[in-house]
Parts: sequence; C-alpha cells; structure tokens
Amino acid sequence: MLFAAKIVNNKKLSDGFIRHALDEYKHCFIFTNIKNQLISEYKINKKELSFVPNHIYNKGYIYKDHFIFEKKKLNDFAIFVGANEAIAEEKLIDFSNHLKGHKPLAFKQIQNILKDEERHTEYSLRFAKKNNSFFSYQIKLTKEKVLSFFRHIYANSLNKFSFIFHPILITIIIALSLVTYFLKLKKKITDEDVMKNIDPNSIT
Amino acid sequence: MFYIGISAYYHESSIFLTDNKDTNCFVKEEFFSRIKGDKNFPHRSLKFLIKKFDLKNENIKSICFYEKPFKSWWEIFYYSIKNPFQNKDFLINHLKNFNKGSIFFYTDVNKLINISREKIVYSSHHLSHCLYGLSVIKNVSDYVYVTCDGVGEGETMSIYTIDDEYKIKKIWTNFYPNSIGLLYSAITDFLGFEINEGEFKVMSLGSFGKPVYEKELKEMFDVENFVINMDYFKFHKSPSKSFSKKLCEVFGEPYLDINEKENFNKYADIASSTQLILEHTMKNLIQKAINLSGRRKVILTGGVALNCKMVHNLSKQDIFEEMIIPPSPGDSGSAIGAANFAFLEKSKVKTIDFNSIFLGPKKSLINKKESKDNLFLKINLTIDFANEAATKLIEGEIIASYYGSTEVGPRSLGNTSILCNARNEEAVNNLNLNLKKRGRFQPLAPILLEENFNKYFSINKNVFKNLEWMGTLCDAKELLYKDYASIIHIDGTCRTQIVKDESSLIYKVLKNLSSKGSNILVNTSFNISKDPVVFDLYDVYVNMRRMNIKFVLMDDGLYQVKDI
Ligand SMILES: [Fe+2]
Ligand SMILES: [Fe+2]
Repeated sequence: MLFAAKIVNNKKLSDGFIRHALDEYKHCFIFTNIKNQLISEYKINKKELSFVPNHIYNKGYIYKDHFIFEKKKLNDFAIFVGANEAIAEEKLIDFSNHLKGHKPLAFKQIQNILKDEERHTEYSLRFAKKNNSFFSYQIKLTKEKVLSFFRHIYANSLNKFSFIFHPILITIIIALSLVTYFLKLKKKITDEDVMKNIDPNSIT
Repeated sequence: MFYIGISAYYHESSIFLTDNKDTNCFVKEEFFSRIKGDKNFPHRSLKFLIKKFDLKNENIKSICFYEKPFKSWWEIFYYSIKNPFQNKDFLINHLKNFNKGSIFFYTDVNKLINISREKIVYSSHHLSHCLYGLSVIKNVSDYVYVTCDGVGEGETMSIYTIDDEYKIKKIWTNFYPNSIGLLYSAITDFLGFEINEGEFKVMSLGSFGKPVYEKELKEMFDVENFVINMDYFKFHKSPSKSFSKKLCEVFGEPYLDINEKENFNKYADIASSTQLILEHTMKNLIQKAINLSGRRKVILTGGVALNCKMVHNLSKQDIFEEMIIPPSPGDSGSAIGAANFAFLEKSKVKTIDFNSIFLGPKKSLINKKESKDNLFLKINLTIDFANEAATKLIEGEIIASYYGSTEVGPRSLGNTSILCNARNEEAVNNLNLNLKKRGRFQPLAPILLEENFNKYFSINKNVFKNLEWMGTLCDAKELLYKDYASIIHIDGTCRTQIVKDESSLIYKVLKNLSSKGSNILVNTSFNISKDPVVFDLYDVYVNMRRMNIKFVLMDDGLYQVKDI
C-alpha cells in the first residue's frame, strides 16, 4: 500500500493509500499486543510466534523483485485489495469470536479493526466496480479470491510437502558423502599475495 | 565508469556504486522493500541505481560480488557431510538452498542489466571485509587488518597486511566451525532473541549480570587457541536450532520470558559471561595479529566488530596503539569492500579514494520535490531554522531529522535520526519506550559536539576515532550523571557520537542548543523496532504519523507533517 502511494500519479489516490497504510500499521500494532498478551497468558515460547520479516518472502506474500502495484493496473489492484480485505474480514470475525468471552478488550479492538477493513473493502470495490464492466468485475473478483485461497494454503503448508523431495536429496547426500570421504581438501592458512592468487572470475 | 559491489543472500543485501570521483551511492534492499534485514538479491536497489545513473554495459567497469558463491556454500556443507546421518537435517536444508543462493548471481544481475560475463567478478568474503576497512584510513601499511565474523567461505577469523603498493598478504586464518561469532549467535538464540538482530540485545543485557558462567563457557570455546567444542552446538546439524541439549544442561531452559525477574537475572548472567568470553577471545586474536604483523594499529571488521562494548573494554587493556572499526563492519558494508576489490583488481596499485563515511545517496536524489510539498508544511525556511529546532528541542519536543546523505552502517548518525534533548528525562523515556518500542535494558545514545566531549565523557585515545560513528562505548563522567542521567547505561557507559564537521546541520543544531542550556541530544535511528530506517519522504511521513512526531529537519528548513 505504501509503495502504491509512492508511485501513483494522483494525489488524492496517493493520500488514500497512505491512510490505508497507516490503518494497517495500526492494526499490526494491535495484533502484536494481543499476541504478547496470549504469549504471557498461555506461557507460549515467544520465539515460535516471533515475527521474522524475511518470512514474508518465504510464505509467498510478497514478490522478490517487484510489488503487486507495479504489475497490476489500478483497477485490478483495487479488486485485489478489495477481495483480500473481504477475506481478511471473514477471518477476523472468526478470530474475534474465539476471544469474545474471555478477552473483552481484545475483542473490542478487533471490532474497531473490522470497521476499518470494511471501509477499505467498500472503497476499493466501489472504485473497481466503477471502472470495470459488471461481467469483468465479477470474473476478476472471483479470480482474486481463488488465488488468495491458494496463497494461504501454500503459506500454511510450506514445510509439510517438502519431504516429497527427500529421497532424491538423501541419495545426493549419500553419493556426495562417499566422494568426500576420499577427498582430502587442504586449507590455506596463509597467502603471500592474495590479489595475485585469486581468480576474480571464478566462483570457487 | 562505475564500479559496483554487491553483498546479498545471507545478511541484509546491499549495493555500493562509485565512479571514484564525486558519485558514491550505497543502498540496502530493505530501504525499498521495507523488510528489515532483507537478504534477497537486491532487485529493487539495482533497479533504483539503473534508473538514477542510467546504468548499462557501456558505463560499468565491473560488478563485484563480495564472496565466492560456490566456496561459501560448499565449505559448511563439506564440514557437515563428514557425518551425513547425524547431520542430515542440515544437509538436506543446505542442498535445498543451493539454487536460492549466490550461485546464480550472474543470472540475477543479467535479468536487470545486460552485462558481459567478464565484467562480473567475485571477491573473497574476508578480503571484502578487509578492503572495506580501507575506507576510513590513509596510510594502509601502518595497519594490520583483522576480520572476525560468524563464517564466510569457511573462514571465521583472518589477519591481513597490506603494503604501500597494495600487495595484500593473508598471514593467518581460522576455520569453521571454530567461530566465536557463531557461539555468540547461538547464545542469542538460546536467550530468545533473533539471530543477526538480537546480538545487540545480548550485549546490553550482559551489563545487568555477572560473568558467573565464565568457566563453563571456556569449556565451550578455547579462547587461546580459538577452538569451539561442538558438543554444545548444533548449527552444523540443524537448520533451525543452533545449540544442543548439552548446552541446556549447563544453562537450563532456553527461551524463557525475561520479563520475569528471576529469568532476567539468570539470562543477564549468561549474557555477561558470553560477552566476557568474546572479549577474551578478541583480545587474544588482536594480540596474535600484532605479534604476527609487527604492527600495533588495527582495523577490525566482520560482524563481531559491531560489539562496541568489546571495543571499549579492549581499549583499556593497552594491547594496541589504535583500533578502528569502520561504520558498517558486517556483511552489508562488504558491498563497499567488493567495489574496492573490483577497483584494485583493475588498477593493481590503487584503491578507491573515500573521503566521507556518508556513502549513501543524497536525500535530493531519492525524492521528488512535490512529495515534500504534498506531505509537509513549511515551518521555517530561513537561515535560522537550526535555532528554531534547538528551541523546540529544549521545550521537550521530539524532532526527526532527514537531510544530507544516508548513513551506511546500522547506526543513524544524525542525517536520518530522531532527536530529543538528553537533559529532558521525560522526553528520553518517552522516545525509548513508547516511540521506538525498545526493551527497557537498551539505553539511547547521546550525540554532542567534539569540543564538549571531555566535559562529560572519558575514553582511551586509542579508539577515539570510532566516536565519529558510534563504533565504541565510552565512560560517563560525574557531570553527566548530574544533568543527563537518563542516557547512561547501567554499567556507566554510553554509545556516544561526536560531531566535528562544522558545516553539518547537526553541528548547527547542537551549537544552538548549547546556547540554550543543553549540550547533548539523544540520537536514535529513524525507525520503529522491526522496521528498516526510513528511506524516502513517504517513509518519513508514515513513520512520523505512527510515532506522533510533529517536526522534521530537512536540508533547507524545518517542516511539520500535514494531516492528510
Ligand atoms: Fe485493510
Ligand atoms: Fe562476514
């Protein structure tokens, strides 16, 4: 959202994106607080729930070489945002229902977040509806919802299916271990002329 | 013609571009992606440089990667494969990462610039650290160059000398897994902090404890011969856990909540003992470097050199005549070392002339003028704006600064900072706990004019130079306790920065501040914890709104955030 604010050529839209980004930062802060409360209450190992920024890449939530806004047209971006905000809303309602009885404060905070998210969804989808024909709007919306569904499946099952490749990897490891068993690699502790002895084009 | 150095894939990715004339531009990938410690190939940074400097095959002399990709991958694999069954988890993971790493560096570059293959060169990991060290000195043959990090191409410690014709000799090396850096990271992990990020916290936490585990830690690492006892560690076996059960038998349960007093005290003792072992090791390593080279001036690089408490404690032991740690001694600064390698490799007898430590892009190169007008209100654009800023600081205001060139290292040196009057305890505490959301055991750092330094602080002159970029701690004097107690760490030290450059904006602000009754500001990096430092004006705006900071100092005046 912040990136979109940076490059969009329309001051009003840019301001809107900034406001949206600020909302999301606020939500993130609230979630972190709720998380910390749960950690201390249930004596959870805080490392297990700690946020590691680089994992956003591994889980496929952000591309390594571009932002979504660079690759999508404004209308499509609006549909993407609207669809995902709507999905987030549903999940949040579920989550807040879990907290309803025993965490009244957290429940209330999430209701406030929900109000923001509703506004985001509404605004984005209204924009998209205005700029797409009815038919293309519906198709694109469905497409984004399906993609989002798979994105979450992918993120949640990242390590669960990786064992499929294990037999191949283990074969490679066994083969390499046999080769290296006979390998006697000497390490150089000193080097009389480092620049002369290094091959700048070599990767080894 | 441009020389470009790139460091990527393992730690925060960065690129340095220079023409060895007036153009220097150091950028980190996290500046653009807003993902702290972003370690992917720096696509976004490279795109930025291509656009700003119109990069193409014709105007690039060479692009240098900071290490040998295959060697770096292979060396740790080779160690673990000697016991393939015990270490299979690590090996599988390491094999899986083969294609995600630097082996495909050329392909990654080529996706963005069509560049001929012979223009891509590869330095060596510790050599890049060493060559970055040259950026802060003139007489290269006076110094011995010591590098100490976690691991790089299978090396963990190395010692170099360079003569006046730039002939470089490596005079000693230590190898994986004998790494004091990895030991420190494993303890960081044990204490529940993130590796590559929490090491600073361990250092600060250590000041609250006593080194009661010295004996146990010396069993884990032989500080005289630099040998690790792998029974206590697992980083060669497991991709996710760096310490073994045996370590837990010594220290007890890992990942406890340090908000509970009992746990806090215990973990502080462990941190303190680890710090002590690090200091003993580094003392012996530097002593070894001096003995082997016959030189008593030291340039220290590698991630371990970021431990400013170690620098401070070693400075008191009369081992060296001088020790300098450049502002970004870790892997991200090695992009600069890599560019220096590319230059030396072509010229044979010369390296890049560095005449500033601020090697990042000017703020004017980053931003469009309209952004400033759209997001900020002009408060004072007269020559007097530094004075008005000082007045606001005296009144207790917390002010952001965003001017000049961006800093290179992990510490903001005034150009991209948040400032407040160090004499105002309420403002200092508010800044640390509420705005920056840091732990209560991590104190904020002071900044002051060089001429006022001796009034408040003392330091051994052999590490004095590092004060220009917060590379060391120093001791608080009586007068500091009287008026500025809230910036002093529990052990009586401060991570102080001195300002010498009279033309800099921070100099003018501090000068004005002095005339109003305070000589010291608190200076902290312009970000919220877990977020990268701000890069462009949009980041500035959003972060100010998030932290509720009203005013920001820019090159040409004092501004206020608009309400949009
Ligand atoms: Fe939203
Ligand atoms: Fe390194």
